[in-house]
Amino acid sequence: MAPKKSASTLMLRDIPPTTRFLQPDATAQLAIQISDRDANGHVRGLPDNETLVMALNEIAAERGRGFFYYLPFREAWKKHDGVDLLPVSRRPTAPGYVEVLTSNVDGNDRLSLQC
Amino acid sequence: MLTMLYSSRYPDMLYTHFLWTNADRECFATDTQRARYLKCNALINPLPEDTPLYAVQYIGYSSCPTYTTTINSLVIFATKVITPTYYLCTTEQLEGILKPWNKRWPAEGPEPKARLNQPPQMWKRQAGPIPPELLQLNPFKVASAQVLYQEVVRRCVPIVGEMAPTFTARELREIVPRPRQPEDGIMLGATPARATEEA
Repeated sequence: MAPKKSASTLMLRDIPPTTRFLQPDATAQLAIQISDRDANGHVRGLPDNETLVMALNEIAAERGRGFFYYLPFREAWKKHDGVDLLPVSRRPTAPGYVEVLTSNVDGNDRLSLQC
Repeated sequence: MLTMLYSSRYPDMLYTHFLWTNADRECFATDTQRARYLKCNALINPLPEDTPLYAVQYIGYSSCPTYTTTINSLVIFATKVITPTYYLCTTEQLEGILKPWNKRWPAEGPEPKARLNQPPQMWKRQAGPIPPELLQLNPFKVASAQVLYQEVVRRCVPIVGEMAPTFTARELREIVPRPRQPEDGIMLGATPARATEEA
């Protein structure tokens, strides 16, 4: 499992636009801890690939060349909200897993994941 | 219903050879941090279908799987052991350096055949001499994000660059996991109850 980043008190939306994600060296770059609120209002720490992309795009904007995107970590696909927020039928599967749909006795769809 | 989502083709980061106009740069400078953050999300901002994309795997912890790709692509290791550093290498270079999996403890998880072994002592340094694989990775060390940017941009130039685009934005859309039965959605401003009343 990915080491869960502890939610720091520094929120992304409180940081002024002039503050830079780019740090002079890798030590400072990897020590960045910033949190954000997701669509459900939960606080989550930004993973390292997302903060790195923010820093790389700051340089890209200066030089006028290239753009970086981030995607959710593979681990992030495996966690799901409760059925109230995210019905089973709307759940995406993690990359690399085979999705098998089975109907149980109650007629409710149930997803099982296999490697 | 069976669907296979390729794990080895799923990247953590993407690079696009984008040329900024002055208006783009001004827009970036005036944006809030959160606006920039949302613009950097590849799922929120799908690109035009024929855009060539360069996939980058970001390996930030010991259990994070590293995959080989059919088209040579970039891998970034970010380790915090002793002195935090980045390593920037390609999957072909890693294939040449890393040992195959031990037969008694083979690779696990989705697509085990495409999984690369971990560089020994990358995440936890032990007493004794440094393993040869880690020494071989030394030339790929990158000290800062600034150098990382320069290296990626130098290699990923369409046609003349060292690296070939991994896939197009159209293929990425197939790789990204999605709900099995997407719902039609409701018009903005309408609650589900109201939508049924009107119909």
